[in-house]
Amino acid sequence: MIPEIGQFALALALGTALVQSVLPMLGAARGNALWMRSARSSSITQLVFIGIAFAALMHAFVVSDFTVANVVENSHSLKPMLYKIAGTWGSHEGSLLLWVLILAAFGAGVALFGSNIPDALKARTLSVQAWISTGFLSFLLLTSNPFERVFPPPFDGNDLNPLLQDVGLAMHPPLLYFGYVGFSIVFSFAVAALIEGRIDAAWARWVRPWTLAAWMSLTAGIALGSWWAYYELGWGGWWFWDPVENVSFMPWLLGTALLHSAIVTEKRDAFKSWTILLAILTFSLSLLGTFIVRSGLLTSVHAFAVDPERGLYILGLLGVSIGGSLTLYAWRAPAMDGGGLFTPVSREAGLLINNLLLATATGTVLFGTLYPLFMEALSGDKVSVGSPFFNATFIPMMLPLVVMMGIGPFLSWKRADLKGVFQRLRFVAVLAGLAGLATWYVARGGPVLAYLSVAIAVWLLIASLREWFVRIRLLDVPLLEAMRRARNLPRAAHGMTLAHAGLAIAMLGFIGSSAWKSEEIVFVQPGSVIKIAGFDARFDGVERVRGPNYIADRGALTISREGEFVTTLYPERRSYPVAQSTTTESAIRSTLAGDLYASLAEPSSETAADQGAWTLRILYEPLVNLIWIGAAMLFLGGGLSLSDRRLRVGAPRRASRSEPVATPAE
Amino acid sequence: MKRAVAALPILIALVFGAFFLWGLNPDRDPNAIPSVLITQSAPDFDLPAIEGVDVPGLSRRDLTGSAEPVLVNVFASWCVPCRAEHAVLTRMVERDGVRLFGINYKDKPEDARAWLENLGNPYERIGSDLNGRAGIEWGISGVPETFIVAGDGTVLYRYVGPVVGAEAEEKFATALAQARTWKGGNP
Amino acid sequence: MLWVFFAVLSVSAVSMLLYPLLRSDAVRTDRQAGAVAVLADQLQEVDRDAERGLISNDEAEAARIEIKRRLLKLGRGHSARQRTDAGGHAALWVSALVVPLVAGLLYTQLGSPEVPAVPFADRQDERAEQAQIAELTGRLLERLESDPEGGPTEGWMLLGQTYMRMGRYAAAASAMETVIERDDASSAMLSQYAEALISAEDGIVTLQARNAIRRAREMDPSNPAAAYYEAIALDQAGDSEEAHDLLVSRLEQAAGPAPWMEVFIAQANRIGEAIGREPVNFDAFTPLAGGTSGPTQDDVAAASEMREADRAEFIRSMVDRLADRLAEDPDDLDGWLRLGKAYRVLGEMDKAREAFLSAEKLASNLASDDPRRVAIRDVLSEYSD
Repeated sequence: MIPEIGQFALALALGTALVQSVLPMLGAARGNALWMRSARSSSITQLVFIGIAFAALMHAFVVSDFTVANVVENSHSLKPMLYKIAGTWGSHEGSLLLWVLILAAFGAGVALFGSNIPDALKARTLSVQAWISTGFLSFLLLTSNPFERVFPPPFDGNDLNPLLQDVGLAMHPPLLYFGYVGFSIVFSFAVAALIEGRIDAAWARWVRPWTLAAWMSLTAGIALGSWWAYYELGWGGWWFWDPVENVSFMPWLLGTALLHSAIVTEKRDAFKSWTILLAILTFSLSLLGTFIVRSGLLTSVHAFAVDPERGLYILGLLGVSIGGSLTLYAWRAPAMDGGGLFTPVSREAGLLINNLLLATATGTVLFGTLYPLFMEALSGDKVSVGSPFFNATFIPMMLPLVVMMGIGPFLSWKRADLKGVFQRLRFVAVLAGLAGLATWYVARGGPVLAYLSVAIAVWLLIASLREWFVRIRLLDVPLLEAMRRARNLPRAAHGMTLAHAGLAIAMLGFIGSSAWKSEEIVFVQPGSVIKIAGFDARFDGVERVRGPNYIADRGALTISREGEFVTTLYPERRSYPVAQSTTTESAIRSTLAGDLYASLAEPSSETAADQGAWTLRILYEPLVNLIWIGAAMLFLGGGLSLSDRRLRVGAPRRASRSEPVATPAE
Repeated sequence: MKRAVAALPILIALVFGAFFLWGLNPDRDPNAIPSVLITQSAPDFDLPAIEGVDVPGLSRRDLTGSAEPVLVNVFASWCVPCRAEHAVLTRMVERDGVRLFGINYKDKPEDARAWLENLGNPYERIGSDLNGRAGIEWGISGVPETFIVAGDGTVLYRYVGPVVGAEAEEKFATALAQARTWKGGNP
Repeated sequence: MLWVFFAVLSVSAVSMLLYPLLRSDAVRTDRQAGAVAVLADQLQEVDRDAERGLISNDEAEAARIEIKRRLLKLGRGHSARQRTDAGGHAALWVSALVVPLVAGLLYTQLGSPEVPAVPFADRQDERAEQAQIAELTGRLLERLESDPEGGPTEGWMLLGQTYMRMGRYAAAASAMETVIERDDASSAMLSQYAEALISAEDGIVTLQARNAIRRAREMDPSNPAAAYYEAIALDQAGDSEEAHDLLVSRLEQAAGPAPWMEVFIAQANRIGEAIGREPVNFDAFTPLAGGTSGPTQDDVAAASEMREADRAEFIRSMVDRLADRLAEDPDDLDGWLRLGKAYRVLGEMDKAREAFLSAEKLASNLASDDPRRVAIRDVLSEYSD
């Protein structure tokens, strides 16, 4: 019965979305307050019913109700409970249900917490949001029904894949979707503004918290996914420029550009049509990601089961949403008047360069991701675009961006005093150069680009901190006074410093783990010693151990440095008899300086296994943990910025309209 | 001018859309990777027979010399799709008179022997590739894979995965028919 | 119960959507005032920054002037439109009621209200039964294995058949393998063994299975199961024509309707479709001669060496299957005719009459001299006598 309740609730949600698509929009056009207000209740209704449906599906997974086809295909009675729950969003159908749930959550979020947003804008925004959810709910119900039933039920489920039983993997999609889908509300705001024909500082400020929330989750989602690939898959890398990774990275890049261009719109009333375009494109790229992952358009290691018919339906949705919004943009954008003027040396100009670089980088990634498709369509040739392309195009664009990031915060609006800025940064530049040289002295070897990159990352780190010091006048005034100033600084300013410094730290991680990574793949026998990155690893052989539902060959590696014992690593190869599959469990010694990473490949041949000979892969990835630390700082920086009081300033309530310039409470 | 710039995004989006529409063509398989070996000479290899199986081993020169193209099938007893494919290959040999050679990939001799006894042996020769080296030479990405090799030792076609089901069999038969009309020389 | 839930959900959806009607005094905000508030906040921020010395006084002044200019422009621009709050109640009502309507329509297309939820924990009985069967087979296996004489043939076959039902095909095949070389091995046992082997290989007929089939056919050429698997083997080896011929010729030898014939016909048509043969149907092999001395009685005669109980069960099972199929697909005229005749053979005259009445309805648009219509008329006229 519960699955049927879920089914019915989903149908109710679609009905609600249909009503919400029309009524508030009409209300805003006609000035009917009642219809506009209906957006609020229908957004919440939608969330409630999709929530019921999601809970119903999750319940079916938790109790292993095999009358639901989706549960049969994606679960098993013997799965640990956590993975039964995660199975809810493990399949195409379930993940799409999660997708619409988050879509509805953002709509309801604006309905509930957007009390500072004017009624008409809110009504239009929520209507546009309902257009998207109508599209995806009908897609879900008509082509990918998660509540498809089977009766009589099969005795047990089909899925017991141990590789997919991982906490990182279980948590990754929800976070990524939160980011992906979160940009939908920004898109809706942009389309609503185009319909309304009004974009100004107030609009930019109202959109900002939602952009930040989406951007934060996307940051966390990407970082977690990369962390999962690194620690659990045993691939020994954190980024592979795989299409599925790229499609989540593109909205992030463009969303970052949007965050910055919206500041200019807010402060200077400029870049208006550009900000709107970014808002539309960011969500369009998220949709594109959904499309690519579910249509089988490109080859990827982690795509869903492919179905061209579904692909066609999503392409239709894409056509309507992206095509429609961009057409509206082409029609309305030229009418938007430009804002405040600025000189080539100003914060506006700095942010413009930042935006251009980010947009170009996004374009490059998009082009590289879709290039195989283009080539195949035009010439029939199959090509694949891998990391060499992305590294050669993406990195040269990122380095000047990072240099700019160090300077930008020092620039003032309209017209900046370049000489003064350089004076402040002279000292930073010297330190950064020294850091590059010091790295060269320590590491010796590795590409020149790596030293340059280290210098640039250090530059950003110190420049960000220096800017913060300047703001609180750390060295000019007594410490207590500086502390007081720090407390009075808007949270967004702290957020910026934290996020910029986070990026600098993550960048050090990127450079360290790619430029100075050492890797050995060797054939070992008990007693073999491998030298890697100053460590000596002695292979002590393999023993057979028993786990709860697997049997493993566990290797032992004694690690020492200059004769001193460091640690023992136990890489495993597990075989799961029930699921008939094998997984590799890497052993990692993780420190801030770097990770020593060992994994056991298959025995080199049947006969050799009897003699205890194995293929062993050892990696040393310097500074790799800085990546996750930096990502966490980016996330927290976004959070600080989101908590800024100013983001909640909005229209005064009607009761206080007697004083036109209301003073918001401090 | 301003209008033209504002219309640019939608135009670009339309071009992308057209490519996507093309890409959804159900006949298209983005995972089909053309072998590096296509229209190149088959790699040099020399494999012994499987112990206890009464057909001889396989080396490169066994592939050459016949006027008709021959098939080289990479299989293993531990590979489930190979079982399904086995019947198809047997039929090709029995009905169409195709010459079929096998590379037994990373398989224990006793398992391979039992497998062939159980299912029947359609292979003219089978090379036992215990350590998988010949598999690497051929550049296989998994088991099973089937190659069509011309009489002069040129690899003409590669099929990844089991040749099972009407669609796959037809595709393969077409490739084989084309291979028969191939006159040699690198294009 | 389910419908009560649906009603509750629908009512709550409607009432949530109607909620705005209740709160006409809800907080409302104005676009113009909102923009003004944001600009005012920016002015204050400039003041604060200037006070803290973050920006110079000149910069602060320039910023203030700019913000004030924007404030002025706001004032000049389109002022908030007068709102008409009164109307629109009807539209809200209609929309709210549309929601359950849409949901109901969708649900009738997508839902399966008849399917109960069956949580795994509630399937104790099923699991217990499975466990019991597993235990019994385990004990049987033990007994057979410990038997110094190798265990009775029927015992091993029973074990194999049980494994088959449990879906453990490989185990079934190995259980049967122990006895098929014995002298008392029958053709039926060999064909069962072949079936186990083929099931274990997901439908692929292996060399071993073919050998078993060959032996089964040597022992009893009329064994339908052996003929069936022989045909499958031929088809898999590419001799689809021969496979089709074999199926059809075996069907032609059939002495009347038998339960296995439908499977044969389905298989023959599947193969026939691939090689372009005309589809065959049941009636071609069970000629439709009217009257009470139908072919089913021949069949009964052919099965005369069966024991009385077996025979009744044999016919009964065939008739029940046919009746079930017709309940699902009532548009099958020939089916109703066969069912009617079968009931007459079994002596269930009332059921027979019902079947013929169903057939008559379907036959009403046939030509009046169509043999089937004639047959129906003849039979029904007997009832009216």
